[in-house]
Amino acid sequence: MSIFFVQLLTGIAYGMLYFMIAAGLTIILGVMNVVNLAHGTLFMLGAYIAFSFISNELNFWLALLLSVFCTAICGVILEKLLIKYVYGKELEQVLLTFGISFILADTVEWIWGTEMKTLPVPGLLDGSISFGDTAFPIYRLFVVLFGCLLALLLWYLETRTRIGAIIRAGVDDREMVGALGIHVGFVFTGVFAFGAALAGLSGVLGGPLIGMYTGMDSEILVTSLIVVVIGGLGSWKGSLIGAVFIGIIETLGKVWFPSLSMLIVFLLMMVVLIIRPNGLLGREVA
Amino acid sequence: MKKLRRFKAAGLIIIALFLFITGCSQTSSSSGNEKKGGESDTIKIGFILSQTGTFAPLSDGILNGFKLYLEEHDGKLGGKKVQIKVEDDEANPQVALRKYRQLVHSEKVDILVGPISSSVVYALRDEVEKDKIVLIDANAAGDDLAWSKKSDYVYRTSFSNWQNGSSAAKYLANNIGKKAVVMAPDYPAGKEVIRAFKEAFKAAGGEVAKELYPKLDTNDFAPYLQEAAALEPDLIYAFFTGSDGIRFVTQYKEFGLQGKIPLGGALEFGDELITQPTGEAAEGIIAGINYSPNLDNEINKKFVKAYQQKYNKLPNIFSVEGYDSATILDKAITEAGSTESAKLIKILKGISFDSPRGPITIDPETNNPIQNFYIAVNKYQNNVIVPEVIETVEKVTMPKTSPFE
Amino acid sequence: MPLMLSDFGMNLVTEIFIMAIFAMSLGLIMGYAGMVSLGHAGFFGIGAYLVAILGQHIGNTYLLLFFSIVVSGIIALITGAVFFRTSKFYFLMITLAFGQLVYALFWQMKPLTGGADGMSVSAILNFGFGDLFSPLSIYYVMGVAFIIAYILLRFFVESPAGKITKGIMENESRMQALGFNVRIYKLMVYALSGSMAGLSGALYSYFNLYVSPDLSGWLFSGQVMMMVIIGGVGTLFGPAIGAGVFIFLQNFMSSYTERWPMIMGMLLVILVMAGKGGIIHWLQHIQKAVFSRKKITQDTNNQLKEEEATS
Repeated sequence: MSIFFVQLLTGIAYGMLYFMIAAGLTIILGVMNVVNLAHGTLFMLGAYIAFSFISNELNFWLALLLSVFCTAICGVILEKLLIKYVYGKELEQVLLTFGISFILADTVEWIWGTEMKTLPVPGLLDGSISFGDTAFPIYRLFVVLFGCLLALLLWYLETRTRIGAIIRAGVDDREMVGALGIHVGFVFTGVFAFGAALAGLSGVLGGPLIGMYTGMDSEILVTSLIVVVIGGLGSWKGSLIGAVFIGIIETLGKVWFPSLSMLIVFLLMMVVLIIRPNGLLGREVA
Repeated sequence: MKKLRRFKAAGLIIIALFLFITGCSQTSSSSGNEKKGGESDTIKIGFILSQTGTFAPLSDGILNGFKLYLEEHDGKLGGKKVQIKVEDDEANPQVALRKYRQLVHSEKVDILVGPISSSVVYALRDEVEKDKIVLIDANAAGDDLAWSKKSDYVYRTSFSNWQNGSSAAKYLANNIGKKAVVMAPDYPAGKEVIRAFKEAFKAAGGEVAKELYPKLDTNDFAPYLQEAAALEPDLIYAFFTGSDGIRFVTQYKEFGLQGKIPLGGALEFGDELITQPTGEAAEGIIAGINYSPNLDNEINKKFVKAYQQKYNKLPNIFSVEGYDSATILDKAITEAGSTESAKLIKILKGISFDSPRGPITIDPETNNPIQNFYIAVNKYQNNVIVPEVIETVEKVTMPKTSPFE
Repeated sequence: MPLMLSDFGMNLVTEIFIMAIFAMSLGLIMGYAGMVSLGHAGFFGIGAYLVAILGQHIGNTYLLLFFSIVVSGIIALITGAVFFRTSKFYFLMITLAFGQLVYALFWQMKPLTGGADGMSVSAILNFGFGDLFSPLSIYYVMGVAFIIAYILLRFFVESPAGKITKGIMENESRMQALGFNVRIYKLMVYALSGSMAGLSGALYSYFNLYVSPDLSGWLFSGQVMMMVIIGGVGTLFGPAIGAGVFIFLQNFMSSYTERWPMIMGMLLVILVMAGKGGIIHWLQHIQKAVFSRKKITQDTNNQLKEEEATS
């Protein structure tokens, strides 16, 4: 019984990681209607930047903060220079962000090389807790906790703050918000930066869990796209459900149905889309 | 609109004509493609390696080793100046075939070196036979290359999955315990390494209690580790590469198995590609390696020094694969006196040379390198993992034909 | 273009012909039906593997090609019927899932498909005049196939059915209000596109003599989409040009620099930012500038005369 419980917990931990990165993706999608295929590469960037800081004897938490800051800046630059020119044009967005991800990923490889790397678990969270006869790493519990905190933060931002109200209004009626004197451009840049920051954050937190290697950006991008689709575009709550769901299914599936494990997640997405063409909690996309 | 149509129709006709003309004027110089005798003073060597994706560091290592050898020999192999052309196959057999054609038909290389992935080498093997061009397999470890897919034109300088899996089995059975649980990813290489281990382990009196095959790219090994631990084996033997390997070793520690159940591994677990990122977690692993920068022989000492000087880091098994590929070509071309495939093949079969790994002989029955393996235990010293050799297994080879068919 | 193509060059052009057919099939649904699919390689792989697997038992080329076309077409019909319920972005994702499923299927069924290692193709082209396996004859076959494919597509696009489909892309509700069965038309186009993609896959098998699951992977789907974009969405011939450019670049870029993904990325970014819908639109621009100047001057003269008269 404890094996199953540990597996479940692991699945939730991975799910939370997927949630963190999918949240950024879905928020950008929901608020700005922008498909950002470079999201996975921002994730990767965050991890590698943190790696550099940590390699220079910096504390994990400080490195985390700095990485998030850097990815956010990256997001601002990208939005102001490139992304804002393709609002409303879906195909162009797909291609533009695809191209950006190529450039960024290759830059990462250029600067940091091709060898695989890991981020060390911060001293505070090193070690395991025993559940009966099995040990479970504390860091994973932390990831679960952090995911919950993030969800709380998003809920609070969305429902209790002015920014949240502006964003919700902006999604429903962009022109009106502009007419009310609120600089929609700033809001959008801010949202994109926020999404990018989330990607970088998940990259750093994911570092000790899944490591860093060439190709990680496309892997995580596909997973987060699936989470976003299943959860429903624009709905971070949907992403939470979808991510945890996928994390669990993926982890358990690999043990119970190993031959199906490749297909399982894609099959799941197809099933969900057939039953609910807009995802679990999504609404009609423009 | 009418003009547009006429324009397009005209375009079509031009294309059709063009097709016809180019086809017609093509002389039949395209048939056969016999490799011309290599009497000129330069040889072109084509590399098909995976430079994108997870195999990238392996390709870097191989190229570095090869280039080092060239530098030490005035840029020559067999007395002829060498020109290198490297192509990236993206670990994709389709791309590899395209690059192959580019290298062989367009660039007209004399000899090929590579690839990393076994699926690529199987795709290339048929082409290489058709075009009668020599391929030095510097990494791909698929067993069938020595058995059902053996070719007179392909010679391996790395090792086979069989050798990798079987080398440590006897030592582990005799010194650690007779009951083992084995793990490897669910793909051809994983299966091949494990079946080799099983054969050798059983032959030494051991018994494999359970075989576990997590999917490739598994994030979480917990369920497998727990299942293995629950069986209370004397040891766990595992084969994982790349990021899988790093995660496995790290999680072996995280889930409390390090120090409780001895972990035996294939050569990857003693190689710095995995031991460097995992650090302390890799301590205590007993691996059957075929190379370490600390190997105590003259050639290796020189090699390590030169490599460090040129590249500012220690060499690994892949660097040696590259270096040895150059060594074997140098020797073969010198003895054959040319780069003509037919002549090279005669020399390559059964050729022997000394490598930083120890002495190597190409088995004429399998075109596979007979080499030493070393049983080594990972020690953590000065924040680095160093594999300490405790026993040498000489002349590790593989059966002449597959024992599984 | 040289009149004498080297062996390698001919090989490259042959591959371009095949990819051009594939790209045109995707261009059809993207440019004339407004559907963006990230899983089109699924059909390509189906066609390719059909020839590889069945080719071991059936020697008849016509039969094999026929199967590839029909099976891909049917699968397209079935999946299309299910997928069209979703809107643009979701359609993108569900087609991605489709492609990946096909990939996973080929990967898993090792005894039949050779699994991750792929399998070699033993089938040989034979249209009744003897076996064709020299690079030259394959070059002709693919070239002819390309021309036929283009003519077929042009036929469709110019036909009433084609025009209606384009209308659906531009304004679906209007077409529906006009009484057209929108669904049937979309399915028809998708089936046509799928079967053409399957055909290109089958031809690829004969050409490459080796198939592997990556032929259905999303990376390949992404690449063919790039071909369509480079050449220009919305035209029939554009994607074919895009295929040529892409294959050419892909082959030679990676030889010159290790940093070719970055260059590829920058190319995409520039293409998008320059915003002119690909190479063929540039060509059309040039053509318009050359042929239509006369008309423009005449129009302006007339306009000026009118303004003079009214002032």
